[in-house]
Amino acid sequence: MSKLFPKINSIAGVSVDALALSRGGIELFRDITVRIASEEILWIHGGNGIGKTTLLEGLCGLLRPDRGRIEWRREHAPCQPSDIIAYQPHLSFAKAVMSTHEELTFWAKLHGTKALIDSALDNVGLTPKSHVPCGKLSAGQKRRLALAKLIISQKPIWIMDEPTAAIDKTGRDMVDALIRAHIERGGGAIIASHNPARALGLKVRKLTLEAASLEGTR
Amino acid sequence: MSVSLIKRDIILALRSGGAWLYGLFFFGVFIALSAIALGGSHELMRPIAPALIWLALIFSAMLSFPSIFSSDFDDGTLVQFKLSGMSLLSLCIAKAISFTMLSILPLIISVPIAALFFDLPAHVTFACMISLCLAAPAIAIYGTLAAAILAGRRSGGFLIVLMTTPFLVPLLIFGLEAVSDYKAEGLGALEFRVLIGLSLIGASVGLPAAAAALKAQLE
Repeated sequence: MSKLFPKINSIAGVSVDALALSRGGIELFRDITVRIASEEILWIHGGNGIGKTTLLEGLCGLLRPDRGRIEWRREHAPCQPSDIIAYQPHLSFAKAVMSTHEELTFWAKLHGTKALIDSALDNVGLTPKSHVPCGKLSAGQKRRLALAKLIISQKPIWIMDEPTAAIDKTGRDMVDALIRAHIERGGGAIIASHNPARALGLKVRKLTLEAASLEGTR
Repeated sequence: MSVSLIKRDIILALRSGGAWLYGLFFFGVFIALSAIALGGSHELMRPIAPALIWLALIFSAMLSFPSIFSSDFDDGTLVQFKLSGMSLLSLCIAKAISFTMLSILPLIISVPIAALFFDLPAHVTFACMISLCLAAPAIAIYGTLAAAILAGRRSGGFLIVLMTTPFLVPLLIFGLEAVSDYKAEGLGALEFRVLIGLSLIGASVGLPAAAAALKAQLE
């Protein structure tokens, strides 16, 4: 575990000021101000279609804000989102014809962490499936593979879209344990879910997106 | 980094159940139908055969252009490439190289077989292959550029054809001139050098433009 989660000594953070984002020309929310840094969890809660994924993509630097600012910092100096952020989207981006091990190896090469592949697979319980093509994995196993990719990225801030969707009870405990290990080594996490925040045994900051916050804009 | 990307693209293509061979299949069908349409008379076909081979290759490449970025865009892989901090320029270089290897090289290799249909003399076949080899980088790069600009657009395929046509016209003109001048001037013919120049222009302008287009797509 300590090999997969070495201590992160640099302080990383994302700060959002009066942010407004829209998708397809429709403004989803406005005036979001929040700050997240190392050793913190931000739990974004809201119903379907409220804009959770849009907010996460904004936090990854993948959408241009309508108004407001998003700033990524490492050691108090501005940096690129790609320096500090690992993003687990809702959909799996594994290629169906690659085996689980090949898929993870490819991403580990990009991040320069080839030494961690086997222990990361073991950690998410996919070692018996390492030679199975990703297309043959179940929905829950694909989520586990995505978690392994988060681990091997070795980035300080994890952004997770519905990390426990399609995952069973033991899997959920595993996700919680991984998040806890990541926070304890000095990482940060931003989690979006349609479920209210779970007790992770850690301090969790909450942000609730509500349709009501847009009342009167149209 | 680029090497592991190219390797991955090739593995994905080989395991795709033969989908990467559609271009080659189209090339063969185009040549065969042209021979039938022209009545199979060698005297009639021989002078226009290089043009038919060039057209077959360009149409076949156009069919394959949309696939350069479509699957990586749709499943979110491109987003992850951006967040991994990888340079988008090396991504575009890798994509252009794997496109050349998977969608153009097999066609060039099969030119001698196409030449049999048209009863082409060996030196014309050879000139055809050399001119296509020299133009291949430019074809792949302009395809990459158009695919990057239109990644994620629904009707991208049609627009890619429209967008690449003007870039491919000079290649077609000089490529065919090179084939006809080869007999008199050999590989020293001016047109071969023009083709190399067009490929170099493509590399120096098209690749950075493709990287910039991808960057704009991803924010």
